[in-house]
Amino acid sequence: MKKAIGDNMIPKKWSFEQGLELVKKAGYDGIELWLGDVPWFQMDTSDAAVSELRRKVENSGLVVSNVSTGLHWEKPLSARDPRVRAEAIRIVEREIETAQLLGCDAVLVVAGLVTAEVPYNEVYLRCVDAMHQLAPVATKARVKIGCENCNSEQRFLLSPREFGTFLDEVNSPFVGLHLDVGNIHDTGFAEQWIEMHGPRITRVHLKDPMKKRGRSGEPVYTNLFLGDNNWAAIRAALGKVAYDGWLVAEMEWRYRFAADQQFYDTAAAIDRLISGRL
Amino acid sequence: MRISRRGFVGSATGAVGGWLLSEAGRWAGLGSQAKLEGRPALLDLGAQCVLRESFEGYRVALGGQDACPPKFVSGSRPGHGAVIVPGAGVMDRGTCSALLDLLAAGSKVVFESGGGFLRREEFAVHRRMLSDVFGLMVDSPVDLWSREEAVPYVTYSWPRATMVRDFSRVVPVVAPGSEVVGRVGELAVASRKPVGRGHLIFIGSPMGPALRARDPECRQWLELLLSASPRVLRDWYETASVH
Repeated sequence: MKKAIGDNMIPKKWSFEQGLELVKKAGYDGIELWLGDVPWFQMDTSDAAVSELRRKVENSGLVVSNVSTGLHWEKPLSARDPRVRAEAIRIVEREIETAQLLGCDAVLVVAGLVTAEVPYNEVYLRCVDAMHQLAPVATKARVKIGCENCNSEQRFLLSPREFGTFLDEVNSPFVGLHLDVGNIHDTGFAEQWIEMHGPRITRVHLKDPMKKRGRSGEPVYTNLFLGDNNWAAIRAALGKVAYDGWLVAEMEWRYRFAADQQFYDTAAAIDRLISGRL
Repeated sequence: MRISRRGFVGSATGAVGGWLLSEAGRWAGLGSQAKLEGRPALLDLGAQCVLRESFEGYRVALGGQDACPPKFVSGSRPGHGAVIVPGAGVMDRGTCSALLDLLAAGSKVVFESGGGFLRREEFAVHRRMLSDVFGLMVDSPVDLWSREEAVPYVTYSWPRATMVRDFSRVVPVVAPGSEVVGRVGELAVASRKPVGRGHLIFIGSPMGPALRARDPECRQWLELLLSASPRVLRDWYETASVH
């Protein structure tokens, strides 16, 4: 397995180049690029500029692990307004295009958003529609779309069986699961998701949730091994399904001081996870 | 897909019949009312349909029947049971006049406005079209979810009391001479009125997505709507109080 971390972790006042240097020094193999979350990678960033990002990544001895985006929280594929949905589709298409330019083969998509206004059944149908529309694009580009399990925030596809049904309906080898082992909270167990979805997992996001928090505004997420995930079981499940892909750190809660130290600590924790010495 | 008028009518009738038969078991007690007297046609407005998913919802609810393009409506013999116009935006003159012909000849036209999803300038044309063609007065769309404590249902009083999820933006109807049959709170969002020998049912809150999501009450409502003949509607209208 290889380890990566998102470029949205790079401290705000740092340049992309400074961030790459830190990621490399901390021992990562790759970097996840977040479309729309960082100044150097936006929807209107040109193809040439994206290729230049790739050059910088490779010059620093890294590769791009995958392309992600948080833009679908504002413009979901499940929106009722067809114009918003068209924008959401365009975001995924741009992720796929830039993944090709960056030399990686996976993108993350937040596939739908259940709200008080937009009910589950509608969201489900629109997301299947969207994936049916996008699967041929992904297939042609040889880039896999990983729909992320954002269980609590999305209120959608809450169980691994449900997620499996969704993927069955989409029925494309180029649409799978971008599994965030920190997002399952108290609705299940990450190791069971891994076991059930094995070959359909496109990438794994790592963070640790604190299951008893979050209901009163306290942060839910913490550093690896400080929360409630059963990391030994997660490691065993990854071995059982022979997952050998990217483990991507997504630390939602940042260090208040010595921001760079979080890169080193997280890299060391991922090394321990990969080694199985837990 | 090209389809002859005879072929279309046959397949539409068969599809609706099949839908009713298959659903009859789920909706106990509706068997006798489920017999359609007319031949519902689903109008595909193409680019003039603002909400394709609403169109798809009606198509699914009618058993996946083929839709007819406006050309078919223009060339059809007037008087068949019902024509459903889903997610309508700004329609061309030919389609409008075909619908008026059908109404004049005794058809029931179910007009679902997609006006809530039009741009402001498009909505102005939509509004004028409703006024000029059908004598319907509507207000600017209302975003229901920008209000506090939204209750997500439209309450229909006819053809049976039914609650259906709203679709975020509604087009309120304010036409005098129409009977209000659906409301969100104080807002009138669905109405019916006789036009010629026929009947116009205006729906200002798209229902197709709820049909597509298999909302049983919504499908039941549509079934009853389609099973009511224009004559019955007209008689009922004449004896009912008009608001």
